[in-house]
Amino acid sequence: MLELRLESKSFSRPVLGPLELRIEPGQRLALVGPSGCGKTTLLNIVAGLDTDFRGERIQTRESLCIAYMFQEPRLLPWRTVAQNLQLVGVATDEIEARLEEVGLDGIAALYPRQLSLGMARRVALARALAIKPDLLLLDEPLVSLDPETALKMRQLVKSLLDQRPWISLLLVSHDPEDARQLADECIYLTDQKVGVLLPSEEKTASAG
Amino acid sequence: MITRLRDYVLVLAVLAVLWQVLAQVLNDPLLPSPAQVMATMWHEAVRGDLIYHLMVTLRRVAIAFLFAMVLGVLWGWCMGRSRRMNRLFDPLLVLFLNLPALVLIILLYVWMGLVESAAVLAVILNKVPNVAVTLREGVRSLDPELEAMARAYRFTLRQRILDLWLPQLFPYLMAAMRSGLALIWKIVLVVELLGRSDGIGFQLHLAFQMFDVSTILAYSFSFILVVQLIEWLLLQPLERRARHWQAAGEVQNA
Repeated sequence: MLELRLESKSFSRPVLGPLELRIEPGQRLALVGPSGCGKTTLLNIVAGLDTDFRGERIQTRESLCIAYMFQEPRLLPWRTVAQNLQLVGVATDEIEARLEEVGLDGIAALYPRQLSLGMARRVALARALAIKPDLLLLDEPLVSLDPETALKMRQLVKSLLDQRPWISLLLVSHDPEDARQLADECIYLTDQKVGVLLPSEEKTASAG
Repeated sequence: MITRLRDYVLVLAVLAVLWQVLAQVLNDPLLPSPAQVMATMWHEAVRGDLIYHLMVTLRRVAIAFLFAMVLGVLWGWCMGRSRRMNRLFDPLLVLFLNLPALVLIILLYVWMGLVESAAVLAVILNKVPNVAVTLREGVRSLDPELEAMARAYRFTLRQRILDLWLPQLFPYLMAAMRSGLALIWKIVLVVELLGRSDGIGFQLHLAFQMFDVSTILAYSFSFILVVQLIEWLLLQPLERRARHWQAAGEVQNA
């Protein structure tokens, strides 16, 4: 479905690579590594937002719909929750249902700054799922949440993904527990940014 | 709102009283009292002159304002978005920013003749660089994270303009409009004084030749009133609507 052969990616210094990644339909993949090791950069490349790298990004399916849930919710602060969802094509009469699905009720008319981080992330998740993606990119969906909220969020993501087995997942996290709960396979990005194990090789080591 | 209006009226009343007292003490035709100025305003209004020249000036202001805003926004957008455009246009911008309004007006009258298009063009060219500079700052401060989000979710051009860019550029547009309106009407008066046979600037020119301070003040105040009305009836409601989201209530807990 999507293949990435990254030779190197640098800003002022090398950040990532070499690295190979293949994502198949329904595959649930996690990228785990310490902060600053280039995980978000990799997600940006996979999403097609960052094209300034050495290597190849091959999309084998022509109309591949990718939803990207950023680490910060990135809702438009001057639009209400409902309007933020409408902007990605959610019909007016569907908004409440979309929000209920992520455990939110009665917040459609609020502005993002009136929401807590946990709630805003849920809206961002609802927005990501609303575009009916083939591939969902999650960038640290649980970071900066208090433990209880993080636990609920993880369960929510898991159950929503279980209901949609066709969605491929690429999850980025610093917490191996997220990877264990949400993904089937795991790639560890090391500090050295190189010597990354391919998912097939890693599977035996980290599955379960 | 009521208290603000009350303060406004109060300040004006105090100023008017001070002025009246000063005018009576000096008793000089070069400083007419507020009552005399009001009488002149009324007289000119009844004669129809005031409204006619006010409308002529207002039309020039409106045309120049519209063109200056559109061109300035486009220019500022290009310079804010692209470093190359910025390098290319920056010398031109500095030139126009520092070219005295009067020089531009004289040059255009000399080259094009004392015609309406020269007058309006002079005003536009005076204002465009100010709008461009303000907008360039605004465009440079656009949030790259939201930009990436809009790309990831494939916002249409219309959505980007209306939902992404316009709300972020709004404070810069308001600043450009406010300073624009004030600057443009002042330049329009100079343009009219130098080369037109109608408009408030022309009337001021006539009054100046006869040292008729009362008429000068009557025409000036009437236009200040118009600008104030534009501020109250157009700009402020627009601002209130656009800033609605910032006034929304406090953060909720999950």
